[in-house]
Amino acid sequence: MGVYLPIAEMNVDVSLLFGLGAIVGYLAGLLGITGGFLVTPILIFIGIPPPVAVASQANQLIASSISGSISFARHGKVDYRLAFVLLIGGIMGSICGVYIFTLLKYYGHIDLVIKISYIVLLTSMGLMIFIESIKSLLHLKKKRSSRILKERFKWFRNLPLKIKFTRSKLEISLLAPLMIGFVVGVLLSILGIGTIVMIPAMIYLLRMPGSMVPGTSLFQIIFVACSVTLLHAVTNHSVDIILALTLLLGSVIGAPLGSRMSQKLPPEYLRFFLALLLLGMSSKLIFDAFSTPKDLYTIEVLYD
Amino acid sequence: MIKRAIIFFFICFSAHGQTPAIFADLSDHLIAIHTGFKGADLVLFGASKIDHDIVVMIKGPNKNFSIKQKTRNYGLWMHGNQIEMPNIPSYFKLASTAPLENILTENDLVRHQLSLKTLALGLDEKFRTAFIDDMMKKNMFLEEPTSVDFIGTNLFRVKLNFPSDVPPGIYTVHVFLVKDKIITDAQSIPLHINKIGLSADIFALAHSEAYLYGLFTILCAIFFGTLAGFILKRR
Repeated sequence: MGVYLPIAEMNVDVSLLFGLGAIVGYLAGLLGITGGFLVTPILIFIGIPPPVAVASQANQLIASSISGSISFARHGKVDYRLAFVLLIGGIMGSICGVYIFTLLKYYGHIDLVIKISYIVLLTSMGLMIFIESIKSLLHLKKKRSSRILKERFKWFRNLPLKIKFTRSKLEISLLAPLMIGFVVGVLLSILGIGTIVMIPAMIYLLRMPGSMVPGTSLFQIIFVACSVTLLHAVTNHSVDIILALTLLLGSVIGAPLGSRMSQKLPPEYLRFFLALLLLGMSSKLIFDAFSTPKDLYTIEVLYD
Repeated sequence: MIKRAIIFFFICFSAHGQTPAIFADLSDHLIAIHTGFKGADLVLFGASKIDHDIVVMIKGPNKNFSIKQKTRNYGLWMHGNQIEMPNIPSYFKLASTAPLENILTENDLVRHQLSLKTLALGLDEKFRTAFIDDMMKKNMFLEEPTSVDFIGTNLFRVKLNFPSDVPPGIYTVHVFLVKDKIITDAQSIPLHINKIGLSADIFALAHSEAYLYGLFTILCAIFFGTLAGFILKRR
């Protein structure tokens, strides 16, 4: 069954969008990642104009992160105080990010910067999580090494302005999550990826308990997604509500399923799965970047 | 319905006394894009003098396009500079009774921009080929010599197809009557492709009341997200 998307101005199969939404929702619920790095390329691949794909994806993200974080909140797995600090950093970061974006555009290297940062970020994150999760899956880690882990990046958590995050059982500097939020905000507005960097940072830099990570990350992304949606709606008129609603219906069903699954799976498996996703995506990006493309030209309609 | 229209048209035409050189019409003057729109088929039909050739050209609303070439730098493929192409028809279809070179002079092809080869795009050769190839792949550009069928000696018809992602706007169907490489008569028929109903309302709202629309989409997402979060409680 096809549905006509009024902003994208094309007909798309409903079941395709629905399925795509369900997969993203499931990932959001399972890992707390928003899956933008998966969905946006697929939407563009089926012919939806990139501005519409990005904006509508942000809109459906609101729904899947809400339904996902409700499930986490019910199990007490959301650290609201930490989410708030991350959020403040994120807003400041996204403002700076927009400024950097214009600067890069002005100097004309935006395409190169985006491509290389994507590859570097996804590969390094993927490898890091992969090695960690393999170690813990194979029980290579000894008690002694877990103490060493606790010491790692200690200076970062011990910056001034320490406060207590009771839910996460952490007593760390306010500046640590603020800086992470900031960096993620910058990345989000330049590259359109955020949570994929935020989650490893929460795990490895803040030493947050693994079970608190997805819920907290999802909760703070609700607000970011709202502001991104409104910004796109006002400046580009590119939010397609029909596209968003179809994706959304899929994702709200997928998200609770994913989060229920995440209650059952031990965090090592979750990390391993996340690492595989990241490495898969980055190897695809590397392959695409170096192999000769099928179409040597990109043609787009310019929106005024 | 189309058949009846043709008969009706034929009666009018024969009652007309003095014969116009060409007379054509579309089976529909409005294509409505509704929520389930999957593309549309139309028939252009008409009557002409005997032993003439017919050339039909349809042009869609002009849009601004951009084209970027991918180049290899340090082993990486990336986009080069963007070339902007203002005011290019977003849809172009050409149908005729015989290959264009056989029935028209080069001069006329250029003057009326009557073929993909002579369509003015303001691009150099390599970008031009790339653009036209891309538009043909999307079914927006099409050149079909010999797709105009004659019924009997002087009635003709052409089947037209518009894909689901056809840009809305005002289209113009130009019909040319050709004899001995000279255009002897021509007619233009407007065709409206409009969004109707919900999809039209959404598009209008997104553009005229952007804040309201943005807030509405957010509220929708919040509503469905919350609903799902509570309905799909464990089990």
